[in-house]
Amino acid sequence: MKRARVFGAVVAVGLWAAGAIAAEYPTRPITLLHGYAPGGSADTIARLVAKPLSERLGQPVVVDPKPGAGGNLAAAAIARAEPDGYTIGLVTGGHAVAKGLYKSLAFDPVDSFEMVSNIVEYNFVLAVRTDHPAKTLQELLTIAKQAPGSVKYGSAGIGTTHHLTGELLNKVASVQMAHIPYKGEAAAITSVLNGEIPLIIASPVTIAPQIRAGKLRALAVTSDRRWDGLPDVPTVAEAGLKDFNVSTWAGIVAPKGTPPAIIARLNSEIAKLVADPEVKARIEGAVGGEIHTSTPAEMRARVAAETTRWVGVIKEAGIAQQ
Amino acid sequence: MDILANLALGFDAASTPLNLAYCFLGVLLGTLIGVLPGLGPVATIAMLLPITFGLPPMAALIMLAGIYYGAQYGGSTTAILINLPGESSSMVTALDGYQMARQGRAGTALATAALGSFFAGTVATLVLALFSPPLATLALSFGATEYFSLMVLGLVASIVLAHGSLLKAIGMILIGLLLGLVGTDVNSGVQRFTFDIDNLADGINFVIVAMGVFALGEIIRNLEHGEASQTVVNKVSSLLLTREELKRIIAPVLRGTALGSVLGILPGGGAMLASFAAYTIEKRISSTPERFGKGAIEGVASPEAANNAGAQTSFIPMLTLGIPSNPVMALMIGALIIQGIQPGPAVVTEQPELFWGIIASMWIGNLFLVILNLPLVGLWVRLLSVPYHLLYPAILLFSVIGVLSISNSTFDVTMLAIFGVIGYVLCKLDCEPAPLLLGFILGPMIEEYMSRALQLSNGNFLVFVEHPISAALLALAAFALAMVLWPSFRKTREVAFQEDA
Amino acid sequence: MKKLVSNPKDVLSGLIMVITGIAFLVVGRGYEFGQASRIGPGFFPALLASLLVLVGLAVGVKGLRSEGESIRAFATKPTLLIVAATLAFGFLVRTAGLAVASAAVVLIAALASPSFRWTQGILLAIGLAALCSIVFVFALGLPIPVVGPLLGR
Repeated sequence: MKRARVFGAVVAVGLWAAGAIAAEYPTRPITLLHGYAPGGSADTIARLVAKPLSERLGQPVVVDPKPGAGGNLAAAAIARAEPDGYTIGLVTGGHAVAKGLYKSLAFDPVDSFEMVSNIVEYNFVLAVRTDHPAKTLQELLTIAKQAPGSVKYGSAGIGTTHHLTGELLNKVASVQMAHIPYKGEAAAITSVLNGEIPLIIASPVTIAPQIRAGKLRALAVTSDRRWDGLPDVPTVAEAGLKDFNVSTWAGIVAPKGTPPAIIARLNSEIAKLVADPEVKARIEGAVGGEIHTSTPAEMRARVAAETTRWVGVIKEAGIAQQ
Repeated sequence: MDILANLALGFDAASTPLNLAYCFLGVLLGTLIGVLPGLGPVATIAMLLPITFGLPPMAALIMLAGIYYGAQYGGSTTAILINLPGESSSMVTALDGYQMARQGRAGTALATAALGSFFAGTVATLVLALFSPPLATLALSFGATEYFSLMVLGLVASIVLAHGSLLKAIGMILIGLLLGLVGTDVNSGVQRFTFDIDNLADGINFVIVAMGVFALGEIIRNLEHGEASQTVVNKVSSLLLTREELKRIIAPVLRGTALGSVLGILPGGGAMLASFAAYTIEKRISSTPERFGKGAIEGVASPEAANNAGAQTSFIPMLTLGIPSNPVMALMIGALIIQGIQPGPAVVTEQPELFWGIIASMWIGNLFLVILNLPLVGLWVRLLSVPYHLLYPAILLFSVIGVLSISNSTFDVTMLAIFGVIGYVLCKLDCEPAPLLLGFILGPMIEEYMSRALQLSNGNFLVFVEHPISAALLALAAFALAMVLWPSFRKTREVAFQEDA
Repeated sequence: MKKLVSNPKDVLSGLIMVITGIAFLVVGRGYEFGQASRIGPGFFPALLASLLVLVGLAVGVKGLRSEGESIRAFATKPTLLIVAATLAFGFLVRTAGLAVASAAVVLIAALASPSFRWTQGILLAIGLAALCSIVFVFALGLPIPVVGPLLGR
């Protein structure tokens, strides 16, 4: 009997008090908020996660994009939401930049949230046009040292992780490459392709086709590990700048005070759903990265460490706070 | 011939029952969301993206493309019928299309839009098939300097959009340019004129401004006249075009198609200018420019053709270079990536069936659109015979829902109300909203490109005349300005204005 | 009819332009001008706003010298009702849900028409609310609640 079985299950769960909330949860639809443009890679990840998550939880998970102010609008909305597990959010590496970039934030990137789980990690790629004299990162840095101001690099915009990666490179390599901001990566790539700027820092998925087609040459990837999509491209550290390691990520957060049982449930469901080879392949393909789940504590430590690092880079590079 | 073989391959691939079905579904959905004001293709495609995962790549892309140009097409329907442009491109259509509707010629206007779009779509498909690779080179020859000069040309041309006082039009453009600067400055990252309101950090959405000043302003204006306007249209005459009208639109459609095809290729904002430029040219070369803004059929035919041609050729940078020229293209690239196809320069050679199949599907989709929409013209026109006091609450409701759907923000709904009042006040003062809106679109782009061009040239103002394309565009702008200020031309303007008054 | 100024439409237009221009200059006074190789965020707005003030002055002065129509009375009631309807939607959609918010927009807006009748207005409101809930939420899947938290779930 179906009803009896449900009744039995409810009783069993009731006895196991700690798991009670998590087992009943969810009883109504869950909103997955995020602050990025519909159709962008973050939105795509959100939708790729929401679909299997709905199936696993037995309640619809509705993706609700609330773009604006570099994701801050949505982050503030997540922080403000009722901590009942029915509002969760997706944030990316940019979340850890906010504290350094904005004078007043309606939330604290670490303390206003419960971390649920990291989902995916990806590199940035440094690339020049194929006819550029620099064949390696070292050669490029030599040119930048000999003729300060001659090497300009394009990024997806002021205060993006791409931009800050460039500033960090400037600092570590003691060079002064000038930053040219664009509205999104596509515009910056066009600009390198037509020779307006020599260098670009971009996410792998948008730049890889140009590299494979021989239009651009990748000099390095920014994390401490090579990327499977371009296995011949060395890391910045391999190219001589020791300990240089920047990668960006996307992960799930919840408002501060969300019951630990719910966090634990979401964490384990996410770990299970990204283990599905099809979901894994799609998410990795969408950003050009690798699935990398975590415990809530690991994610918290990560966001906190990155926040500290970017606050420092923003200060030293003299990027104006807004 | 190679091209013929390629096109045959494309039509072969696109005309499987499955692909035909998704093509039809796409244009149907596109028409629907185009007709529902505010609900744009970006939001729709983003929502449909997960559904496409289960489809073969070609079917998915054919459907998404269909939604895109279907929406461009549907947007002109509401622009003509109720003065409600949901996209920047259909704003120009509203100028004369809505006037035609008020004169009882809504059917003619809708048919003109349909036929003009179909013709332009057919030509643009051929352009795509024949010239994609060389045109992609053209797209890359435009840098910040060239775009700046193109935008200046657009700005100068926008003065022609107005049919009233020249000075007031310039004032409106300036207000539009300033409003366009609200938000985060791309070049410095500083938030300007946002009053620390986070919702303004990304600027004001075009759809809100356009809906406010056009649609809401129009509703209030109509209500002012009280009982006088029971229905928008008193008499509905013909539904289709007369032979004479057909003859009159041939040349404008051809010009619009050519202009749209070229501007659509430029990924940095060229497509946005296509319909404006087409309208400007028609008005400029017309022997009776005073008819424009009062229901000139050329003012519908040419921009609609330009708009549709541009929508199609804007696929060129994406298909041949892997560069998206607008958010919808970015979404389609996302769809391809999830399907395991890396869009980029290699697609043409590695996936010829996909490449040519999509091109062929565009022509098929355009055919579907005409078949779908021509019979609907009668239905739409009958909608106008609904008494106005029942129609306008519905228009308002669709507008607010549409605005809410842009970024799920009730703040935007408040902004809509503000721009509705602004639109009404401007209308009372005989200040036209069209130049304001064009300024609004161009403002941030002009600044971005100017500042970037100077940054790249280390502050050398001469770059704008040293680059040949840029110099030519600026010369054209100077010429256009001289024409506008030319006394004899001005006299005709004044005459037209006084007749108007 | 005697008019205070000969072309009030132009004079008022000019005045609005001047005020708008000055407002942008005042709000934007703190933004940096930068230099040619790195134009600051203040340069472009200041340029445009100054031009707007000049154009506004020209429009106004021309309006004082030329003849023109007087401005017909502003339709205060329709304006207020349309604004109220729009704001009501923004307020209600998150709290009471799309159905109630839609009905409110339609009903408040419909009040602005001289041909308004209560029964017709209410029927229209209910009909359109139902239609929009079906089309936008159930068919197109917009993330808007049909019945909001205020009314329980």
